Amino acid sequence: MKKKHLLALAGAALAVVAVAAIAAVNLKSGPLPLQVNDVRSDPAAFQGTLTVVGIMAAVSPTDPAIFGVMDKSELLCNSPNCNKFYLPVRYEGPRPAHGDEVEVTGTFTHGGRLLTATAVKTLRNHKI
Amino acid sequence: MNASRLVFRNMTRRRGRLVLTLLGITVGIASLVTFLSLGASLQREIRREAHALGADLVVAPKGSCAYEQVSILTGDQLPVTITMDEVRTIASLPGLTAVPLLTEKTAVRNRPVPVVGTDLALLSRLKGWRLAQGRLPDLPDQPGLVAGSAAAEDGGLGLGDTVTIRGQALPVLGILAETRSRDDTGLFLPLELAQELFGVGDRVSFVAVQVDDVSRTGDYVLAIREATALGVVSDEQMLQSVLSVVGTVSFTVQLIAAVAVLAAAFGIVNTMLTATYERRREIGILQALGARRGTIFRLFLVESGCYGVLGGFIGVATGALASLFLAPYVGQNAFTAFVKGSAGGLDPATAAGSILFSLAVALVAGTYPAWKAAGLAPVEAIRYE
Repeated sequence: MKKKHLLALAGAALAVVAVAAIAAVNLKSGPLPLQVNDVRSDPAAFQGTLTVVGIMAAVSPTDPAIFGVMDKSELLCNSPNCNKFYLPVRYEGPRPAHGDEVEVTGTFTHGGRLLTATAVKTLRNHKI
Repeated sequence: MNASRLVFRNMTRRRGRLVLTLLGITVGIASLVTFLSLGASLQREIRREAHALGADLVVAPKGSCAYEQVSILTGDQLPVTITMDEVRTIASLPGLTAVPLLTEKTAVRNRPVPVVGTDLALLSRLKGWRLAQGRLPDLPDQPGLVAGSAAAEDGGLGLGDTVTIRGQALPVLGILAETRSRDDTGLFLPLELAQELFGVGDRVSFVAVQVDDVSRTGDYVLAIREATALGVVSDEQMLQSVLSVVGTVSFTVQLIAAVAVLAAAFGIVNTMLTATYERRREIGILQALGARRGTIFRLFLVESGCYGVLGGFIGVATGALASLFLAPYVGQNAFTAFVKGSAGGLDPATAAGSILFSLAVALVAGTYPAWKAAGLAPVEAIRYE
């Protein structure tokens, strides 16, 4: 392989890395999903459709379509008095598994007491 | 031809190989510098937040873990379990000024904003706040709030505007001057009003305590522990606890980056071994002209070191740029939320250390090929075509 070909190859590799980095930064610059702890204190203050990220950690004993998601940061807490809060989510589609990190898109209903989801996307599972 | 010109000529003889070898070491050093820079930036922000807390001691529920101590610095919610009776007990101890705080969140323009309920006059004195506009609420249950400078700017809030928290519209009575800490992003309410709005009874999240005599901090800690069933940490203990958690994470990612540099070192070994093979005739001629083994060893080692220094310089520049772009995104993690608003950047010691590390790795990588080159028999070397 000639020198100029190698140089072109190295230049192309650098360009690909630069484009990928810029694309990654731009993709992330949109509105960030909310965390459960962001909305737990005053859910009614959030208007319209929003996306909340959390860990599926509980299921309603009375309504299987309602499950509870806790904040991701609770995975880091290891004291007996952890500040666990389960945000109730109603979703008519398939229920995520226990420990699934989910991205819930929906609106707060019932005066902010329930997040009625239109989409639930599973990101990964945490063994909890 | 002197030694430096010989090294330069040898390096630039195969330009494609030079570029690829440099790319390897550049990528390794750039990733190392990026992580070092972000780690240092994170630690600076943690220290700044701890200082901005304005307290010598923090009283929190007993058994709080490091994460909860991070939450105190980031302004995130904590379990609301400390009663006002306990706060009054702490405040009654001689030599202490106790400020109860309730930390919650609301939304302004659909963006989460920290809300702090506290004795505003006392906290203002403790932290040395200055008001850019307006005033503090006069009464502990007066409907109204004080906005941090960034919260007011981001939320488009001015004096007299209202913010709806838990369904109640509250007027903005004052706007703080910039503090360059988390306080800039928060809304501050009189404690009783906040307790009523968030329905937590007479409880608070934690108590910030200022002591009259810092040399007696140990005595004060004992006195609080005897008077209440709560946990007490000094600002320094809390800082060390949080730094140790963050330090472990930083160390792990820096170790991964260091492995990338070591992988690049094998690229240098490969390049230099190939050069040794290709230049056997040249080595033979040098030996015939009287060059000793040590001279040949040094020539190859210097060439290898040049790869390290060049790759180090380019890697440091690339890493510094990357850390500037990446710093805001690191703040999206719960443990690294301090970095929000941080400029990233690189200190000269880290830059110099990274270049020296790159040089050291390149010299170690170049030792074996240099030894092989120096060990060639003159007859065998000169015979090569």
